[in-house]
Amino acid sequence: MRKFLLASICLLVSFCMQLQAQERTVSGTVTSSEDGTALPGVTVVVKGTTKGVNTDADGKYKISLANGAQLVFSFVGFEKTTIDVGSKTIINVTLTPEANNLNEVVVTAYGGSSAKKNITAAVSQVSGKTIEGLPMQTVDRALQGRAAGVQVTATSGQPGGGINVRVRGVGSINAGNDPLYIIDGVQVASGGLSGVSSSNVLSSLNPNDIESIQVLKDAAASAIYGAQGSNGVVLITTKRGKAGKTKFKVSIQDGFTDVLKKLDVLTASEFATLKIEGFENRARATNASVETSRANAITQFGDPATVQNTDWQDYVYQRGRLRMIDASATGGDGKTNFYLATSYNFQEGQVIKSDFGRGTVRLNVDHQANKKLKFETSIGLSATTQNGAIADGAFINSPFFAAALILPNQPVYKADGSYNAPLTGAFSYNPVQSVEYETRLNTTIQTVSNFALNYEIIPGLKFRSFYGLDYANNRDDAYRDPIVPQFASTGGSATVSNRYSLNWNTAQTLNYNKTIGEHEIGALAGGEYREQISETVSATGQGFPNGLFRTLAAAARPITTTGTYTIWRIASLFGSFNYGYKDKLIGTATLRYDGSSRFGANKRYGLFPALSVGYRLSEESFLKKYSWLSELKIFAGYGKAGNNNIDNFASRALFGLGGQYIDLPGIRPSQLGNANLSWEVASTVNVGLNYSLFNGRVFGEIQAYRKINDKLLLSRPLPDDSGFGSINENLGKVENKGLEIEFSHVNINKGGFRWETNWNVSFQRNKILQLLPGQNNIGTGLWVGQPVSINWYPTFAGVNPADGRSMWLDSLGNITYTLQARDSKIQGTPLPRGFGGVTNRLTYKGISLEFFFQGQWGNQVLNNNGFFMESSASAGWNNMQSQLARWTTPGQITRVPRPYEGGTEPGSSSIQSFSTKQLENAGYIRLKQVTVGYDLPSSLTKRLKLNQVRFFAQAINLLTWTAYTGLDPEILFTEIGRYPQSKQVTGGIQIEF
Amino acid sequence: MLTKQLRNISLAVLAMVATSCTDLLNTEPKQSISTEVALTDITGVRALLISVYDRLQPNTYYGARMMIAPDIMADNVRLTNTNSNRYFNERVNAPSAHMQQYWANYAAINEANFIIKGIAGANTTDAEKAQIKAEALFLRALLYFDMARVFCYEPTKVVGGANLGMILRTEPTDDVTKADFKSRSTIEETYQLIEKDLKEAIALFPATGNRLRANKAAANALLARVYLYWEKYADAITYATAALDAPNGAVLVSGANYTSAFTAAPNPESLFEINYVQATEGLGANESMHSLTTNLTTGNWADVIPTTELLGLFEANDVRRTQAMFSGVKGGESVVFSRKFPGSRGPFTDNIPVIRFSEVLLIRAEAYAATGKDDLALADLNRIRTRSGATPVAATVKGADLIDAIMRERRLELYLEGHRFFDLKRRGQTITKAGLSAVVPYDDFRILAPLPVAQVQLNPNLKQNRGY
Repeated sequence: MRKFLLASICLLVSFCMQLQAQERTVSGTVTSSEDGTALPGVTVVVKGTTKGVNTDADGKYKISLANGAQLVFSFVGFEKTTIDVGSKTIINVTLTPEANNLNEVVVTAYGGSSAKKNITAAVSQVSGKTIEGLPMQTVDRALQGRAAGVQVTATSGQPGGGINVRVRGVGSINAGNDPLYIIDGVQVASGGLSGVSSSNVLSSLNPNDIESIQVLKDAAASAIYGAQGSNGVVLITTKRGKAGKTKFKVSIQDGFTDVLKKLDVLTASEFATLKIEGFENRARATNASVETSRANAITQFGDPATVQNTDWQDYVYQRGRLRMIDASATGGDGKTNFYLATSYNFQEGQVIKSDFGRGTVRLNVDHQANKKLKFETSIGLSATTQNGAIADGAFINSPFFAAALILPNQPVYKADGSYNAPLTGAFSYNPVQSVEYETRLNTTIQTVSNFALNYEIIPGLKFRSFYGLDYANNRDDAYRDPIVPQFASTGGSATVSNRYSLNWNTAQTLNYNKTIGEHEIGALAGGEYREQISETVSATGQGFPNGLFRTLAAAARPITTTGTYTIWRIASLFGSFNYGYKDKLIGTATLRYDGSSRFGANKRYGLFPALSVGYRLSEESFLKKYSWLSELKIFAGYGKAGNNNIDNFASRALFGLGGQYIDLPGIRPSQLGNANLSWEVASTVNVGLNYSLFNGRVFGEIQAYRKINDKLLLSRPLPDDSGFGSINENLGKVENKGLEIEFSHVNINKGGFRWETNWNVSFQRNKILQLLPGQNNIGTGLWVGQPVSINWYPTFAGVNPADGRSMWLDSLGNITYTLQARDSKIQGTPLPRGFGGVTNRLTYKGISLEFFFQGQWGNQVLNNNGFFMESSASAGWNNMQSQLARWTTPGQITRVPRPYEGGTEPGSSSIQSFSTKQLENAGYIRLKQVTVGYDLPSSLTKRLKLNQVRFFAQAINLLTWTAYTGLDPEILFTEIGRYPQSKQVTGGIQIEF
Repeated sequence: MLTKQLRNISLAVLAMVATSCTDLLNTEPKQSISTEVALTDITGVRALLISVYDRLQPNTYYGARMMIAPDIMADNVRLTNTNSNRYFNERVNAPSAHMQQYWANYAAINEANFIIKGIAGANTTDAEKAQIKAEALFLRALLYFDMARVFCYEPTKVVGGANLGMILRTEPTDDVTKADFKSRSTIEETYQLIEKDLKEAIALFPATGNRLRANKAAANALLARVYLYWEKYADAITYATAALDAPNGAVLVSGANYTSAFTAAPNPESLFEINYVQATEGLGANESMHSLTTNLTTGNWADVIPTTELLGLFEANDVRRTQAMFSGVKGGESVVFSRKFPGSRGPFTDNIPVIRFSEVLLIRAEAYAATGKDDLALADLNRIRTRSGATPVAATVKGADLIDAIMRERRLELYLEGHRFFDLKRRGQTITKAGLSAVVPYDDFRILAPLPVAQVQLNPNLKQNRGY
């Protein structure tokens, strides 16, 4: 076969040489209008002939042609340009990028790619350019508001902290809902490793190294990932070397972070006033002495006229410094290309003593060993340190949670300068002291790297052998100093935890592409294997001589040692087949066969099929006559993908640790086996429309979907007398349906001024179709016919104008003062009805301005902070300013009940009762990003022997419009003690040479 | 040529993945092990037996509730005026306050069932097989008997024909199909299973053994207690005598040593005692007997104290009053605390005696008295009284009066050891609450604990107790 190939190449070459002899030669360079760089690989064709060449690594071409010919320059992602040659011999061409993104290359599964116009499934892309240089530590944060159907919510404001990503709604009740993340073909383990700070495995990847992100949203796109595909797949591709002179890029950025908002709390004087009222009200109701009660209140909370005030929030929040340095080099000789990048990022948190530091190195190399054999490797290394904070709960020692609630009449420091500790009231920790003396350090070393070998067996048929590794080692250091009064009784304690996660995958694939006349076919077949092992070792010791000794060796008493280990594996076969006819009809079919160690012995293997078809109406002659219509495609797909995010051993009959007796360890049955336990199955129907009008001035996509997640894992109760409480079975069913609109328009493109707007809007609805057989609900949280998460509270009916007591509605809708369990009902859902983003990009010569809004609407969330802080100052902690509107006089209409010390008036439920009083509309619009940039004119940079010099300034989370009164409306269900998000302002310079 | 090559490669890929699939997908957990692996080795069976003992320890069972609830639901102990609100509902016999927590015993019973079924095939000596099986049978009997005392009437004292016993499970639930909806047995059937288990255990046990684990003397004594509840007095005498004749090293200590016996581990009187290791099993300042019943350590609740009525039953020179109790002040109230749980095993930690020598003597005394052997009854009873420095009961006390004297002695000897409520119940007597106006007559529905509501809703075959 080799001989045959060689012969055909010789033949081709000799044929070309024969022709050349009769014509003259034209040469030149092709550059991009965007940044003036040379464009290699541009197709240059003599119009009306099949004769053509490609530009080389420096963008240069040379072609022979006859006089009077026209040259057509085309390149993916750029507008096609036709030039009359005339008598010129040198023709330099500048290509303009297409606004219309239909020709944009979309990375598809297993190292493939396809033009956007040929995609018939639901795929959203975000270009690396969009997120480059943003002061965000993780790529998932940068996705927020950028892709239709992808809902991104920060679960922590800790720099480098956790992010919740939901692709097309919440499909699962008890299994995981996180999408599958794949970085350059490596399936990475998602979630956080650390136990002392909110962390995120994606923090190992420098977002500036990213070339593009694709989100595979429907089954037609993700079914090729089988049992891992139903929550969507996020494909992240890093930058690779481009042939040409080595280009260097250095970027430095510096700025600060601030807390989004502080809570508007009562001053010590206001608080004391309310407290006195509460004490007096109680005295009157219980026939006690009003004077004594008043004196009591003043003793405890101070005299409103003289009491000193401390807003503790001022002491736990800080303006943090943020610094990012990036340097990269890229180039190659065409045979070996490389991308080498390094970065350092350090950000102080907006909460004292919390921070994030990261160094990364990346080396991506491609080497064409010979015509058939190509090697690729991507090596990404990172070291991350994070100082965390106690968060995510109503912890009295969580700095930001406690700061708003500490009694404001207490100063941080005593007169002699020492810490004022312990404090009085329910919040007894002095958080400034305890945070100062506490260590919560997460150190993580991680690599996400791969190696691939590509071999072209015959033209069109390629074999690819891929090996990927995601290894992370994490160490948590937690230390509590005995100097803090609450830790004195143990003599201080230290816990050290070591974890590693070893996750690797390999894929062997065959890829075949061929055009036969008007038929284009492509086929992919392969096998894949993945294994993930996680192990933790942890030890705690107590009793330290003082805070200078912090290692476990110094501990007087070893307390506990623990360890965990878990493993899972998946092996797969898959194939896909693409067909295109005349660039008009397109279809893709995929099939995957997965075996997973997580599932029961009877249901270990599963088949996941998908099919999608597209019809490019604009290629039909009856539409071609409308010149304003550049592109119109309709497409539809159906497929099944699985969700295997269940516990690694959920299907097994297990024995676990079973306590101890007379110093002997015990084991006991911990779980009943279910040999029929299986993956959850999501079947998705997706229909869509792609359009591009007026020469690419207006373009976009509309898609609608209905996704049924079936066989959802639910815990079925068993009779306790069996020795077990429940068993996991595949019983539930949930429906998600939605509409996604992406819409872009170039408003002005004249005289060098360009203004472009991109919208994306997603509407979605979620509904439980089925729970346990014959049952309409599980507890009070899950109801057939309702979304997977609902608010279950009684209705607040305001305050009785006559006596200032809280009123609620009972189960019959009548006013009541005493709540019962039966009075609660469904009160809306914390799931948004829709979300979206809009970006405006304005450029004029070297100046650019981009502003990006993002938001969501239609969700009701519980302001859990309000439960504590909107209680008419009746408990032992500070309250919000809003409580000044408390009831004081008969006839007064207000929603704030009268203060009553302890909160429970005789014959009433507590002021502090969960009800619709704390439910708030958490819709919001946020000015997520503003970036202003200025590129020095090329005349100036040329003189400096530089390619590009760019100055920029940007702001993140600058403004938020919302009716929500808590810290931040960007919450999932309800939040309490969450590390608050920050706003960031930075400025920097980027130089390319 | 092309097709051949293509086919070869495809086949190679297919072969690689397909042949190795099953092997490639095998995984084993480490901190848990699969059931098939767990009991293949004797070490697994031994560790499973440890788990059953561990199940006895929580504060919701022998750790505190079994010691306090039967006394506070009856007339032996009360709460101090200021208290942590623990056992308040039990003190006033609120309908939902009982010992329904013992329904959780089924988890331990399932573990015992695994052992009883799996021990025959274990790789060990016949002697160890017999020992392990006997311990599991004893524990299963104890777990069922404690539940039967809480949820069911005694076979001879059924009210309103409600002769419901427990759901009886003797096979391990190793498959979800075995977790079926069962009905309650009759109380006779429940007692017959307990009897059968204990008889089999007695036959298997060697003559002596660790008193911190199940042993032959303890099994004899427990069976004697079961027969006493069952009113099979002849059998109660037989097995109590067997336990007293071969008490496995347990003795009746002298009066001088009565109080210090509660600081020894095990108590020299214990036939079976639950051991607690402070570091790993201590119940701490919140839930331990030490915290609840004494003020000896800073941080103790010191909520539970003897009733005035109980204190009034002691004679002036009785060591159980003069030495095993002490005066204290709680929230301004002058009270008397017990010394039975002095924290002798480390901070807030004591062992829990389950069966003591003196209880076995009192079982036999009661059985003798019930069968007309008053002289033998008196002899056993007066061994207890004389060693404590109390006046012996006169030989003129006979019949019902003698039984009353024995019942009174049980209060003095066994208070805070989990007997009083059950003693009144098995004899069909009304609970009087001095200081509280309410009495609880024997036919009151509150005598039996409610079955957990969720279980009754789940299992259509499960019949709730009367009144709930």
